[in-house]
Amino acid sequence: MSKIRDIFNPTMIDLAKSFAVSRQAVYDWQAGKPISAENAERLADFARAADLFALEGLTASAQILRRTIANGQNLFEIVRNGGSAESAVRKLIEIVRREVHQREALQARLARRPHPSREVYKDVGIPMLKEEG
Amino acid sequence: MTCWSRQTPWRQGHVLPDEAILALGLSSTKPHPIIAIVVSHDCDIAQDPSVEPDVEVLLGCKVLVPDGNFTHAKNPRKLHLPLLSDKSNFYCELVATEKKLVKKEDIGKFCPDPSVSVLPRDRSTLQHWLAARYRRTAFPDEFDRRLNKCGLPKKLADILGPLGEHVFAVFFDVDEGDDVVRDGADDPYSLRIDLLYSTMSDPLLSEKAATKAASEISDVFKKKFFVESAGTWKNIELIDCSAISDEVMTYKMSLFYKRWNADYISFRSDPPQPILSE
Repeated sequence: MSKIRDIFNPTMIDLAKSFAVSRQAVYDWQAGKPISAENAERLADFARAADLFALEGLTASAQILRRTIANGQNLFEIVRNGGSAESAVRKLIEIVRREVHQREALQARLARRPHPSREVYKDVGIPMLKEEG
Repeated sequence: MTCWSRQTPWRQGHVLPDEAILALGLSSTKPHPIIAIVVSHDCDIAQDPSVEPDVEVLLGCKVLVPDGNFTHAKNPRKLHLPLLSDKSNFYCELVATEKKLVKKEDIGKFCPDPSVSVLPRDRSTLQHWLAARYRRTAFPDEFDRRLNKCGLPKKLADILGPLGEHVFAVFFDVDEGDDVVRDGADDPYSLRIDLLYSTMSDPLLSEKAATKAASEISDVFKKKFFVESAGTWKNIELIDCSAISDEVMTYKMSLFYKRWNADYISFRSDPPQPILSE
């Protein structure tokens, strides 16, 4: 439990929702109170996911933890729907790795270009915030 | 005088009843019967007439068979728009130059024709078509000509059409943003294409689909423009075609590119797919 909290730094609500239990139940687990075998296994799976995440050198943030991984679901949603956190994090790592590669290639390609002028920024559609009058 | 309020029943995409067309004296160069569709934005319609005195109406006519060249906002001047009707659904031909202004106090005497309506997705097509008249990407004419000559736009549409769920924007980088005048077929434009894939549902699946499309597009360009015997490109040299995550391309990066008008690919999908607004 402490590993999950240290690495993912999830909110109590996220954890409670992921395991479909009350927040109090999560506090109880943290305090070392008894846990069902099923939830113990799911926690262990979550802990393995945390290890993978840390090994990859990723830093937990709301942005990355809430990223869609598959079927429109993020890590917490996958776990809540009975999926494996470890498998989900493996996919998340693959997604992030690919994007790092793409970002590097794109940045290298555009590095020699001059910065877009302020005029270019102005030349985009904007919502009209003051419709009245 | 008819008073006008925000509760007016008129909205963008509403169709004027025949008696309104007659009473308002709306005439068109098009054959009868005339179809008149409200094109003003809902916010402008709701405004007080002292600020926005008119409602913009576009005149059109029924077409028995829609022309694929004018559906899905492909053409900036003419649109074949599907309308739902109590009797039988039909297409309406709208021409951009047939726009009329109708005083709110005049149109306010009538209610929209309840028997004809535009589906939300087709209203979206109408909006994009209206906006594109004033704002659309322009490539160099010669580049357009070379691309169109070989039927490339249709090939791209065929490849990308089924992928609307995954690829929702296509970016072209012509001559690395430089304005270069090309001198004949042996002086090819250089082109990079980035297919922006969605990470909203299944990033790995979308990347796979976009990568496959990128490979197919590369093959098409090579077939059309690469001269194997000479080992050189003619007309357009495709330097690269890649799949890029929507988490990777920043807004600033996108400003270096020109969007290829793939909107109609999304519009023709059912259900319509998300598209990136310009």
